[in-house]
Amino acid sequence: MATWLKESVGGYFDNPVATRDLRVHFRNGRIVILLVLYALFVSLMAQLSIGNIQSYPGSIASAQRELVTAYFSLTGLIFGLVSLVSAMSAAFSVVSERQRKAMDLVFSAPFSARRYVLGKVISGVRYSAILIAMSLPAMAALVVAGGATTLDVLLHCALILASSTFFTAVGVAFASYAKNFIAPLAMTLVVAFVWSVTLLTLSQSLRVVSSISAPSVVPTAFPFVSCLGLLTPGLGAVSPTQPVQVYGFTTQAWIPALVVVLLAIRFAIVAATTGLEFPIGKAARTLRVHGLVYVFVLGLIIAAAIVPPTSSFGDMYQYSQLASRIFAPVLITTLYTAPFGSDRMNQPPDRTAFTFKKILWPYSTNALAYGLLLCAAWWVPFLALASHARNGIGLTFIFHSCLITGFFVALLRCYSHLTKTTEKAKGFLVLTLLFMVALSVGFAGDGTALRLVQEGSFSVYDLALIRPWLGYTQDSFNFLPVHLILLSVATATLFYAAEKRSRRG
Amino acid sequence: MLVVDNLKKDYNGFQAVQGISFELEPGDVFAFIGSNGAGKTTTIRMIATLLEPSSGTASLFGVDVTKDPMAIRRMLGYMPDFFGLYDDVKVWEYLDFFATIYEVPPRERRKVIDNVLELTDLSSKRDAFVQSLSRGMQQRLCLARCLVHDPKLLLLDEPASGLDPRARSELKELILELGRMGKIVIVSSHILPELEGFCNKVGIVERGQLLSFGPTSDLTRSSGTTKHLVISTLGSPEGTLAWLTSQPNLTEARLNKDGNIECSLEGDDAAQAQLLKSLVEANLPIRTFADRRIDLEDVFFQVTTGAVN
Repeated sequence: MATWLKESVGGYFDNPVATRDLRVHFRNGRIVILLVLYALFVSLMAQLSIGNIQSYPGSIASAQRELVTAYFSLTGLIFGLVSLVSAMSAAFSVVSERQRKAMDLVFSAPFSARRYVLGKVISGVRYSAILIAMSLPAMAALVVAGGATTLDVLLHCALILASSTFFTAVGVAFASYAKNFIAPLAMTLVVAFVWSVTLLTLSQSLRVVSSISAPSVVPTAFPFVSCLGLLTPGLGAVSPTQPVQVYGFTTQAWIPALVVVLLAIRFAIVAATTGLEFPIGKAARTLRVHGLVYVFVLGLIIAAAIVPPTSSFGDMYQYSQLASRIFAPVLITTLYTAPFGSDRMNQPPDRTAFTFKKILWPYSTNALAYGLLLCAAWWVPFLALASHARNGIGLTFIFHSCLITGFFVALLRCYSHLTKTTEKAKGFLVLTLLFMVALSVGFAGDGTALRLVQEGSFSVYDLALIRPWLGYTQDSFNFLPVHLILLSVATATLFYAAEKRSRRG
Repeated sequence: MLVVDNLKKDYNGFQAVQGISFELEPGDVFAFIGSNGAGKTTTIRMIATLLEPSSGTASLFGVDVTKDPMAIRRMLGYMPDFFGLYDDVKVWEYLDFFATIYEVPPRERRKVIDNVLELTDLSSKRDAFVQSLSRGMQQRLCLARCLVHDPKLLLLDEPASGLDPRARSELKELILELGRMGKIVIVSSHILPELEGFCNKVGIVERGQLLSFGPTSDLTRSSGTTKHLVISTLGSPEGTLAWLTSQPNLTEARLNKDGNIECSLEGDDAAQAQLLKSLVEANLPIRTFADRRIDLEDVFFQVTTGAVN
C-alpha cells in the first residue's frame, strides 16, 4: 500500500522527467517568442470578433447571439491550438529521446514507464496551462462584452485543460511506439477526429434525454455549436453549465464530459506505458484490463442516454444509428488492445489448451476471444439498461456488430502474418477501414447504394451494410440476413487461413 | 554474484544469443569480447533488463532479471555504447536527474553528485553544459551517471571507443579502481590489448555462443592443448632449430626477430617437461626455455572463426 501510494503520488509530484523538461524547455529563448506570438494571435482574433459585433446592424438579442458564437469560436480556436502544441511538444520530446537512445539510460534505472509517461504528459500540460493562462485576457474581453459568464470561462478553461491532457497522453502513447515524429502526430490527429465525432454524438444523446432549458446566457439556438462540438471534444455541443440527465439525475454537462475525458486520459497513459514497460506481457495485460473497463463504462454511458422507442423501425433506426456511431471507438479499442502479431513471437506455452484464465495474455491466439469479451463488455450494459433493444431487431443488430469486430480481428491476424510486425499490420488495417468507410459513404451516404439495390444491382448493396457506425435504414436492413451470411463466411475463411498459417509457422 | 544460465534471445526465428552461461564474483572485471554482431550487446541488454530473454535466466545476488527487474536495476549501472546525453542540460543537472530516478534521497544528492564528479575528475565542469564537454569528458560523465547509486554490477558496453590514449588510460585506472571497490564490472570492447591489462576474466563470444570463458591468465598462458614456447640458446640457434623441426609434435618452429626460437607444442605440461628433458639429453646449448606469453588478440583469433551473426 505504501509503495503504491509512493508510486502514485510520486508520479505526479517530484517527477524527475517533468523537472528536467522544465529546466530544458524554458532555457531556450525561442519559447518566449512563440508564447508572445500566440498571445498576439488570440488577442487579434478576440478583437476582430468584438469589433465585428460592435458594428452589428441587427437587434440587441441577435447581437448577443453573435457574441456567444464569437465566444465559442474563440474557445474552439484556443482548444485546437493548446491541444496541438501540448501533444506535439510531448510527442516530439519522447521521439527525440528515443532517437538519441536516451531511453535506455532511463529504463535501466529503477524508474517505471508509468512515471516517465506521466512526466512527459505533465511537461505537455504545462504548456497547455501557460497557453490557457495567456488566453484569459482575450476570453475575459468577451465576458465583459456579454458573450459568456465568468463561470463559463472557468469551466471552459478546466475542460480545455482536461481535453488537451488527453491529446497529450495520446501523443505520448503513439510516440512511445514510434521511431519518428510524423507518425504519432498524424495518429493523434486521427484520434482527435474520431474522438470529436464520438463526443459530439454523446453530447447530442445527452441533450436528447435532458429537458433542455436555455442557459442564462446561451440562447437555445446558436449556429456554430455543432462545429464547436467537433473542435472541442471536451465540451461537446452543449454549454458546460447546461443541465443534462444521467441515470435520472440532473447534472451539469461539464461533469459527464470531464468523467469521459479523465477515463480516456487514464486509458491513453496506460497505453503509452505499455509501449515502454518491461516485461511487456504484464504491461499488455494491464492495457487489456483498461480496455475492458473503458469499453464497459462507455457502454453504460451510451445505454443510459438512449431514448426508448415508441414504435417499430423508425425508432430502431434512431438508437441503432446513435449506438453504432459509438461502436467505432469500441472497434478501435479492440483492435488497439487485443493481442496480435506473429505466433512465432508470442507463442503460448500450449496453444491447444486455451483457457479463459489466460484470455488477457498477449498471445495472438487469444485475439478473437478477447475481442468478443470486449463486445460483451460493450453490449451487456447496453442490453441491461436499454430494455427496448431486447427484441429480434436489436439482437440482430448486436450480432452484426460483434461479427464485424470478429471480421476485423481476423483480417488483422492475417495482416500480421503477411507483414510480420503488428505495427505494419495495424497500419494496413487502418487503411482498410478508411477505404471501407469511404466506399460506404460514397455509395450509400447519398443513397446511391440503396437505389442500385432497388434497381436489382447485387454488387454494391453489401457496402451499405459494412458500416454499422453509420446506422441502418429500413431498406438496407432488409438485406441484413444475406449480408450476415457473407460476413460470417468471410470471417471464418480469414480465421481459418490465419490459424493454418500459425500452425505451419 | 552474477549468474547467467543458458541465456537465449530469439528474434522472430533468428537466434541472436544461443545459450550463454557464466558466473562472476564481486571484484571481477570481466572482458566480454567478440566481433560486431556476435551477441555481446544483446546479452548485456538482457542483463540490464532492457530486453526480455527468450529463455534462460540471469540473476544478480539471487534476484532474477525477469521476475524483479526493478530490484535488478537498483543494483546495476549500465553504460551503453552511445552517450545518450541531453542538450541544454548542465553536468550537475544531468547527474541530479539520474540521482533522482535511482532513488537517491534528496538531502544526499548534492553530496553524491560531488563524490562521483570527484571520482571521475569532473568537479571543475560541474556547471558546464553537457554538449560543451569533450568526448572523453562525456564518457566519464556517463560513467559518473552509472555510479550515483553505488551499483554492485557495472555493464560497460564499448566504454573506450573513440577515446584518445590519455582518456583510455584514465578510464582503465577508473575501472580497475571500481573492481578493487568490490563491484562486478563487465566490459565489452574491441580494443583487446587494453582489456588484458585490467580484466581478470575473459569471455569470447561468436554467433551468440560463448566459445571461451575463464581467468585471463589461463587463457593467455595457453589455449587448449597447444603450448607456445620461446627457447634461447648459447651461440647459434641453427642446430637446435633443426633438431626441433624434426620433432613430430612440434609445429611452427622458427626464429623470431630477437634470434630466439619460437615453436608450438601439441601436448600438455608433461609433454612440455619431456621436451625440455629431450633437449638437455641431446646436449643442445639451451639457455632459457619458457612459455611464450600470448595476448588476448592471439587467443581471440585462435578461438574464433571470424563468422558473425
